[in-house]
Amino acid sequence: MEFIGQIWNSILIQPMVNSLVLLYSMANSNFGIAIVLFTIIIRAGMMPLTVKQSRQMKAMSALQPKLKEIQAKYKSDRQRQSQETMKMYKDNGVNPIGCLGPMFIQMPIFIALYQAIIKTVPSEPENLVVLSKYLYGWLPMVRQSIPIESTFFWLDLAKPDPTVILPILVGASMFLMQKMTTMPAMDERQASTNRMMLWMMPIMFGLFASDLIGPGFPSGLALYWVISNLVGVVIQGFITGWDPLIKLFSFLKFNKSEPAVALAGSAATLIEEEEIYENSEDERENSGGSSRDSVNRVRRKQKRSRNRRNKSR
Amino acid sequence: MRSIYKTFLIPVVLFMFSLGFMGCTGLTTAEGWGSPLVHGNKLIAATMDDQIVFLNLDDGSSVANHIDIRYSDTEMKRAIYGQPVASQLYYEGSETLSEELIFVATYNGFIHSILEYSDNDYEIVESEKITDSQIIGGILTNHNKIYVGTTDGNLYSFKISLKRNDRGNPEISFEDEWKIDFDGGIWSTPSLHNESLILTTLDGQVHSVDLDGQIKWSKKFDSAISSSPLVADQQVLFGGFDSTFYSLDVNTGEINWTFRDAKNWYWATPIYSNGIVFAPSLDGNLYALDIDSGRKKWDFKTEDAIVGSPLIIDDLIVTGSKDGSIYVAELKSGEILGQCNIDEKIESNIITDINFPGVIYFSARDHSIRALKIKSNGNPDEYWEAPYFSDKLKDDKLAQPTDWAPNC
Repeated sequence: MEFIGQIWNSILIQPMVNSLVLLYSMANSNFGIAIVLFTIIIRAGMMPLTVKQSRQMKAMSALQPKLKEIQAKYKSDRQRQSQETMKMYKDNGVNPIGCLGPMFIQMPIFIALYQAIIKTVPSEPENLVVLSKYLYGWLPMVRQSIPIESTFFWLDLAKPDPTVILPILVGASMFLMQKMTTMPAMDERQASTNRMMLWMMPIMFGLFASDLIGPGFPSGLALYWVISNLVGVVIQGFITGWDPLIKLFSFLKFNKSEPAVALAGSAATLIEEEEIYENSEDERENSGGSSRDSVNRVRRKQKRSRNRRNKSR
Repeated sequence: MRSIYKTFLIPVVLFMFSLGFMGCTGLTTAEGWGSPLVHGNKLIAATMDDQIVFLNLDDGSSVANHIDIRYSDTEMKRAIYGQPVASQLYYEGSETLSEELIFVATYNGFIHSILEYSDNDYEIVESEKITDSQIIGGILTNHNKIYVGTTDGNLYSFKISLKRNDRGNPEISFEDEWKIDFDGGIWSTPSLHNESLILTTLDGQVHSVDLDGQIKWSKKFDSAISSSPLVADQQVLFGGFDSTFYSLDVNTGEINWTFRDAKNWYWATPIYSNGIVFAPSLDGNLYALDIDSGRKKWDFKTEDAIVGSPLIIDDLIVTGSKDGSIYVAELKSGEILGQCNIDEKIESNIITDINFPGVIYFSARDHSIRALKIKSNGNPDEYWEAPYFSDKLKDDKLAQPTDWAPNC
């Protein structure tokens, strides 16, 4: 176990801690800027994984109508249902747990990043002594930059935000991230889970970043969450489109009577997407195209359909 | 039912997940590493459980009720990093009537003054909040003055007045004398040399200040300094976060020599004896340097950082290490003669009773206070039957005296 800890420290924590301190010294001793730069670099480095994960999720989402159809068709034969489902995934080149792979690779990086930020801005002498062990001796610039000046605007990045501003930003950015990544639900159960996660995650993380339910996360970490979420929203927007955000903000522009229309519009979109997908499936079967082609065709049709709907309004 | 299950389960899982995150960072809250003080025939020690305890030097038993320096469970911990200091104070208007008070500075910005009202009855006379920041270094007392630095960079001088109140009980008041606002936080204990205070700051400066609060000289270095300076042989001796050990002229601040062999920061206050300065480093080495030239005489390596100051007993030097061991080495050669592994990080200074210097006292990360006897051949051995654990800790069943199993 100790050996695993040492590997974890040398491969992930130490390079991250030293990079953070190096960025700090390069960013004119501003740890807030260092965290922002570091988050962007890490997110950029993980871009291939994020893209792969998002594409897998999108592809899975596109297959939902077909999956529902199989479930309905083989309602009484569980084994057949499972076989047909697997066959469908295989035919479309989708790995049902494929989107989890990149997520599992990202998780240790996020945990390490969390630990690195916490370790770099220790507020207690005990932890400053611990930090000294993580710094590379061959980088005198890094050793000499300690202790980190942890003030950033009104924040002490080593301590939770005494105001509610950062917790709100954490919650809001996470809400946007959830909004961007949540795929349309195909049944009421999933829709209910999606709705709950859409609100629950931002609220919980907002609370964790505050002092309301015990000692909150240091604001350096909260800043990391905000930047990471915003970068995630941008990446997601470029991969899967900006529709969720456009819908969210157009919803805010509507009059009181209009949300119903907007909601109806959303429901219509889902039904429409389902129909389009079915059509595209028939088309794919006829033409013998690949799953990626099929998904792209679905995307194009969805876009055309949305344009038509917007024009008709 | 299912929605209730989901509504509560997911937040709970997320919360547990976040706690797991916090737990696996290996970081601790401020607990302190206060060094004990031998006072008369008692050992006064700050535990890591916000208590000041009074122990029998010979067996480690509690000889007086402890003082709880945390007033309620909701308050932040009042960790103690410095050493309690004893100071003789005269009553106002009297040159004969006096009391010996113990002063302790706590992490949350308080200075507590403690008095032995009657035999084995210690109580806090006054607790003065002097800052909203923290106190990490110790207190320096000089006659009826107290000097203390805080993490927001202020060096304070207080005049302490002792008088009796209407009921005839001793009463203390802290009167602000002066304050200097330095750019860097102060984590060190000031040293007194003639009529000057010498202190280091985290922005990498060493300052000499006279007792009226006027800066005599300041010297800037490339990295932070948390080590309290030692003044010996007209030199200011300290190490910094640039892994360099410095000697400065005490009158001018000019550099006499530097020593650059260490691979990590210097944290503890060095000690001096017979022309040799002993500099412990966080790289785990104890360096013995010639005080005139800075040349290394010898060093010996422990397996982890040395955070507290060593102690010289006759021709032996004793140091604790975060590797959990007490090392005893020959003063002349640095050859390790004995080692005792208590299997707990040791970060406090090692102290002794000057009247009975064969026994050392220190605190350990398991919140215990311990005593070892150093034999003349350098072998350390248990002195108390068991280490002292605070009642609070015993109640919490986190550790028990039966845990005492040193490999001496």
